[in-house]
Amino acid sequence: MAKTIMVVDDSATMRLSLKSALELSGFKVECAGDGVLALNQLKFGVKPDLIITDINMPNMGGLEFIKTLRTLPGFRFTPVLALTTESHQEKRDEAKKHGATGWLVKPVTGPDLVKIIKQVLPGA
Amino acid sequence: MKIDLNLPGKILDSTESLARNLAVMVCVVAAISACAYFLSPWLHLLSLSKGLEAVLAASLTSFATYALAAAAHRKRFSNVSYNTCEIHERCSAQHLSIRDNYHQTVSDLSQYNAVLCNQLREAIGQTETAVLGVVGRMVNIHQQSSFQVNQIGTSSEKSGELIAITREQVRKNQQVIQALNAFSDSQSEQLRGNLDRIQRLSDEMEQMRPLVDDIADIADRTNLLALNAAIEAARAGEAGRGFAVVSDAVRNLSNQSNKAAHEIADRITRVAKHAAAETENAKRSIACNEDSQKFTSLADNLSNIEGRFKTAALHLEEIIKGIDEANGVIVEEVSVVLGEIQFQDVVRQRLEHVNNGLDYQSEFALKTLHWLEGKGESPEKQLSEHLDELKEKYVMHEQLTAHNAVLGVSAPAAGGSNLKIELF
Repeated sequence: MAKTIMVVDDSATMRLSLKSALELSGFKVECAGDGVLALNQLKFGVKPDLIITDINMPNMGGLEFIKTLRTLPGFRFTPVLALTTESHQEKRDEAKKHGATGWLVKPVTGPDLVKIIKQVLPGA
Repeated sequence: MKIDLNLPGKILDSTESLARNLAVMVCVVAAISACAYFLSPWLHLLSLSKGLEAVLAASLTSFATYALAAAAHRKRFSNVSYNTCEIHERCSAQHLSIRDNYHQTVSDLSQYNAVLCNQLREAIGQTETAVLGVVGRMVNIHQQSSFQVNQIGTSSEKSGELIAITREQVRKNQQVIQALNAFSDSQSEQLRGNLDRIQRLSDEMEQMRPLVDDIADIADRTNLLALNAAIEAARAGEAGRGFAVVSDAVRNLSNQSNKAAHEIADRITRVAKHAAAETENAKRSIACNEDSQKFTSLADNLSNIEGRFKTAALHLEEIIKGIDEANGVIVEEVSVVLGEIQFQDVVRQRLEHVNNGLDYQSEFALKTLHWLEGKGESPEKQLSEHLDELKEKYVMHEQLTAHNAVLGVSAPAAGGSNLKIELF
């Protein structure tokens, strides 16, 4: 059965390009425009096997989203990859502290992304 | 901090006042010097000491010099005063012109920036729309490619099934043909056996024919013997009566033997005819069975058909493999392009920073304008301070590098991990 990946990004371009690239590789993809919308989807039963989130977003940024996600039952160990333009080391450290699984700086090509996903998501 | 716009005027006013004071001072000094000059002979008559006389003379000379200089300065100052007034007037006019111009510039700057910001926003929106279109088309290309591959794959599966069925059918047919061939061979063998047996029987029957002739000959001779015996018995009279009965019996026996011999000969002839006919039939059957070797050629034909199917299937498989590989390349390329399209988001973020800077510049210009019109305070921060704030808000190394390049600052070494992809 295809694994589900949630993409959280305020950029429509990012959402569509990631969705398309991941679907090409056989994943099922759910999208959200920011942290708040993503949490709502999770509360309404979406159960992704992996989450890819941007860091700088309106309403709720990626760091806060990861922090909140880790408090939700059933999402403590869900792999979360931060995909961002952000290059400040403090933000990277903070993401790690909140429980992010990895840090990817945009742009990342589809094959590289799939390689990383297969690394953190066994059986994908 | 407030700028006094009337400062040039005030400077001119104070300069004029100073000039007037100097003119008065020069007049006083000139009068004293003139008195000293005209009184010097009288001083000489007062018989003052030579030293004092020299000091007075030097003093008077100095006063005179100063008086002349003062007169010259007065003239010059009056000219300066005149020029200053002229400059003052000119400066006032220029000041007004500059103020109006600056007012207009600051007022325009806000609008100018607003236009640039809007252009940038429009451009961002336009690139986003275009990129979304590109993504859609890339996905469409991939879907078309996948559809083709699926179609070919389905055809391949069907061809494969057909080939498998044909191969199975050919295999079964070959088995049937082998069975038929085996059956045919055994039939031929049996027929040959039968033929041999019939032939042997016929030969043996033919070998019996001389025996029959011998029996017939013996019968004839016995009959002749019996006839002689009967003659001799008749000649013997009463004494030969018993012998005549025996000779009659022997003659009957010889007649029966002769009859039996002829019957046997007839039957042997008939059996020999039947045997010859059966032999001919067996020969024909063997010939027919030998003709059945064409089953083998039929099997060979079927094998050839199977071989051609196999070749076609392999060719088709190669084509499908090639198309599948090409599709794999397309998927890979599309996937890479979809990743590279993320540049739009990177550019969008950089342009949004520029927009924020321009927005602040507009705000700064408006505040400055209000302050110049006396309607508010001067902006809290200078543009240079905001530039530093802008720098603090950068998220990408590239932004920092571009910023530092303009300001001629060397970029600090990036601390911590600078990996583009890092797993914690």
